Amino acid sequence: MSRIASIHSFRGGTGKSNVSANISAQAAIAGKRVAVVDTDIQSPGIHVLCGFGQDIPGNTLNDYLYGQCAIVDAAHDVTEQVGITGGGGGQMFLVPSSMKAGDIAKVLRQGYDVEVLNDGFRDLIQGLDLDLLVIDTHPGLNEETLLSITISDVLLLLMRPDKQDYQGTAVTIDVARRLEVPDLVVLLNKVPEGVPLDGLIQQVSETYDADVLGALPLSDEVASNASGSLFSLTRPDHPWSQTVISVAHRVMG
Amino acid sequence: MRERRRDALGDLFGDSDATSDATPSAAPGAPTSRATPAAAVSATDAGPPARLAAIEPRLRSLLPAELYARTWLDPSSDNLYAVFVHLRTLHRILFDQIPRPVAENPPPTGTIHHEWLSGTLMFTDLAGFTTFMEANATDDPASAALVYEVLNRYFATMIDIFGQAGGNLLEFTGDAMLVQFAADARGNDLHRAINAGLRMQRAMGEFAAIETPAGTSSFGMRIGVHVGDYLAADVGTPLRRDHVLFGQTVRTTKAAEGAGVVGRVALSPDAAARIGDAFRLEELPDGHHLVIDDFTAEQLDYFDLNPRVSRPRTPMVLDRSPEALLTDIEDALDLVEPLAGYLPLMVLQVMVETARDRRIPVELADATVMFVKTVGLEERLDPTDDASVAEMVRTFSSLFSRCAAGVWSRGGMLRKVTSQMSGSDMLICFGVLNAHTDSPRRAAEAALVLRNLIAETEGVTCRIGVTRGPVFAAEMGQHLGRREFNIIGDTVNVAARLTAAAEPGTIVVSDTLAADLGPGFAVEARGTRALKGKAGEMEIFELTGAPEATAPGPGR
Repeated sequence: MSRIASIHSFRGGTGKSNVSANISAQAAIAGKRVAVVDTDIQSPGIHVLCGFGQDIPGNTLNDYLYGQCAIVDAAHDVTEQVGITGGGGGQMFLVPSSMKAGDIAKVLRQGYDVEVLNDGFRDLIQGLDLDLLVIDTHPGLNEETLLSITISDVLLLLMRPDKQDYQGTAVTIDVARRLEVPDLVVLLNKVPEGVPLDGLIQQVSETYDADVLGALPLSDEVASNASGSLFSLTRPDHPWSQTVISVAHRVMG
Repeated sequence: MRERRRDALGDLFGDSDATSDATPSAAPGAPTSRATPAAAVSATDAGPPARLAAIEPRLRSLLPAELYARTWLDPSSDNLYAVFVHLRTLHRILFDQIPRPVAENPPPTGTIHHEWLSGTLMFTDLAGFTTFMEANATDDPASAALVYEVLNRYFATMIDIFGQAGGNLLEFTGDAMLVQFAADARGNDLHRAINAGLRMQRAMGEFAAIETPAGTSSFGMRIGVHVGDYLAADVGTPLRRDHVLFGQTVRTTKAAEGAGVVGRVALSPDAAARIGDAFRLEELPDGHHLVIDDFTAEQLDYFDLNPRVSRPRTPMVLDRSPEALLTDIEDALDLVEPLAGYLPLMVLQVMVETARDRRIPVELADATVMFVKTVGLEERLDPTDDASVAEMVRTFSSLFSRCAAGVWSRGGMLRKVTSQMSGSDMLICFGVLNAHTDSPRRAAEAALVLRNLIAETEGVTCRIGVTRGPVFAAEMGQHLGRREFNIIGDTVNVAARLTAAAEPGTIVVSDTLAADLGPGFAVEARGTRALKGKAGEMEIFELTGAPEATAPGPGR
């Protein structure tokens, strides 16, 4: 039974793409067939973490949305590229969004049929025989995020421990519950040094009445990794990576 | 208890009032939508069923039959959500079928609307199209598939290129396209249009040699560009409306195309005078100019940013409770309904049923095709006299509405009205998406009714041409982008040529149609004619009267 996980946050800069990519890679290491889709069409980014430069070779999500290709033909096998090794049998695919200015302008101008995106998720799960589909979203509530929230088996909300994220996450949780998401979980990220993690997790959990999977510290080591590669692969023993691995297992179900 | 927890968290985040108006509403024990079982809703007479009944008349023509029945029988949250999803898809489909400026901001249903717009217009015409259609008869499925593939590739390529420069496709007529680049604050519309035109001509290389069973065909394209003010009007009834452009600017744009050269971008004298030194020009003897494409690929690039970018509105769901879904359905209907009238009802019905596929099945039809050319209305247009403009639009609207009704009541479809160099053309077809065995007789009846209707409007004359033959009925354009349902084929070209051969106030029919009319219709031979763009001569006939018993008249 395949699962759909949306990684979302109300505001930008919470580390969605980084967490999405690392969770996906960890799921692949655990033997799963996983694809991650960059639905942040207006400001794509996860392709960088998967080893692509500005010029993404082959098809992108944009080509699929405008009927230029099937979505499976926009899925790039990044298993080796991100450095997933070992005999687990898992595989990781990325459906990137285009980094061409003209393509982004076209989406802004023309929009697209969001139901085509929905059909694409389904076709991707079937076509690649996926165990897990991870949707990396644009921050805030817009048509892509609402669509992905609506169809998700699990919604992972990322938040930083600050007032703005705190309010925004409340809004998102409200909407997600109205949309009847079966499983809603929260992950705290970029928690400043000195904040007691356990206490924070408990308080957020009680306030939102939601499962808080953990708190990732604001780590110089993670930050200095600077989106160059997947930290949980290069430093699997680091506490940050350990938390991501446990989140990945929870998301896989 | 909850208050205390929130305070504690607020302290932690540095503000004890932080959460006062951002409390998660789905607190434990609080009533939430997910706690409401859908079955309980459908079991009661209060709430959704009454609201559903209230919007049911609006849903009738916009839902696929099975979804309509399923939802009426069981207005569960799942079924209501399916209704919403269908309407959202349908909205996107209709949005793509209609000129962008109309789709974004349609006039309220039932209103006749007109406004003067300014900007740059581009008109494109394909050279080699008529020969290509004649050589690749559309009655053979393999030829038809080839024609469809080539034409759609051409349209999709061009729509994408001018779209990337902010161009909106306003009219599709056969192989021709009228494109608008709305005036922008930076005054870049003319530049964007010329850039797009140059890119389009470069892309024509792909169509220079098209291999077909009938031999190698070659397409070339002429492009005319002009700037100025034009009158855009939305005419018709709520059931059937259309967007029409009027004014000298449209005619001058078409004239620039006509004066141009295949493979080049031609500018009207006005457009040439406005571009400064951004482009090098070559002057033609008649005052038109050709743009010289001396740009490198990097200089020309592939898109121009349009500062008036706005992403089209999409209906959204924020709550899956039946009550909230009904509100979302009402909002979606508000978006869909003003657009629905822009399509002939027959086309709309098929689009509703096939919305899931987002494509109408391609049909090879044995059709009767008619062009009705009206002359005498736009010619009265005095741009400086607001009252006369409004009067012209009202008269045009009433003529269009009555013609559409006259065609519809006889089982046909008025596909589109297009303003031409002289007058306007209405493209009408019978036997498309709605096969009747007696389409020729229905079409002939309609032709006589329309001629009489138009004769009642003072100062307006019409010429009508009708023929019968195979047509290709399909959506033309981009697969998931701008596209329109259209009928294409040599039969359509012949009907247009017959119309041009008709005297004012007469109906000219082809020999095939005359033979198919059966007893009762009065038809007189009018000799043979060489029709423009067609090889050989063609026997033509004039339709002068209907059978007594069925003689339709105005007001029938």
